[in-house]
Amino acid sequence: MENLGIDFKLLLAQLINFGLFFFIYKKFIAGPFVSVMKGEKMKDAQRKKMNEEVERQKEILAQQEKSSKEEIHKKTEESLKAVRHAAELERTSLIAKAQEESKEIVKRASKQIEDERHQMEKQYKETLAKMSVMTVEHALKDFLTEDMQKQVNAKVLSNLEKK
Amino acid sequence: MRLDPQVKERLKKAFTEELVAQKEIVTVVSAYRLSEDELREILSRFPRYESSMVKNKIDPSLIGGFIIQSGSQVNDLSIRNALHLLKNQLYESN
Repeated sequence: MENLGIDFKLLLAQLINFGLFFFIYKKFIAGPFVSVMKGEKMKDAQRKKMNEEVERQKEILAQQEKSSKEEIHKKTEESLKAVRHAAELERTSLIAKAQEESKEIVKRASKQIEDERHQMEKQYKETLAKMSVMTVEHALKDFLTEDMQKQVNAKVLSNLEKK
Repeated sequence: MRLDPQVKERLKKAFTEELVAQKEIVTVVSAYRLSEDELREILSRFPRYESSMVKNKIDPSLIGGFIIQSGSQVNDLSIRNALHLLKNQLYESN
């Protein structure tokens, strides 16, 4: 072996050296590194899991938001429909009331016009009668001479029965 | 206020005499002055006034005809009154 150049002592020392190196490397370098790596791997897995959970929650929230919006939209539509219906009923009622009132106003106005027309007609007739009588009175005053007045008296007396 | 019965009696008598005197006077109102004949003719239509004293008053606004007044009694036979009645009839016909 010596001829082959192998020194057992040196070999043994190298083996011991290697063993020591291996032990120290494993104990103080590789072990912590591996554990750090494992920790990081676990943290990555947790992060990934959390991200998935967040995504799932987001989806659930989006779903809930969508359904809430749909619900709100539906309720709003229903409310609007109810309000439109109520407004339509109110409008119909108001129109009917207005029509009734307008009929009443027209009726009152017609009656007032009729009354005023009747009053005017009466006044017109009264004025006409007054004017006619006044005209006759004036004409007779101007026209009747004393002789005519005597004839009038005679006529009055002839028409008069004894009292 | 109490009146002396004698004063009261005298007042009553005077009042009655005044009333009788008024009743005895007949006023004929006409549009022109009436002649004696016309007055007599008019009074002949009212026998109760024949013995009364007659006065003639002129009122041209009567137009024609006459009014006989005695006391509170009035007989209006004038054209003015006829027109007035006509006017009232026309009013009432409305």
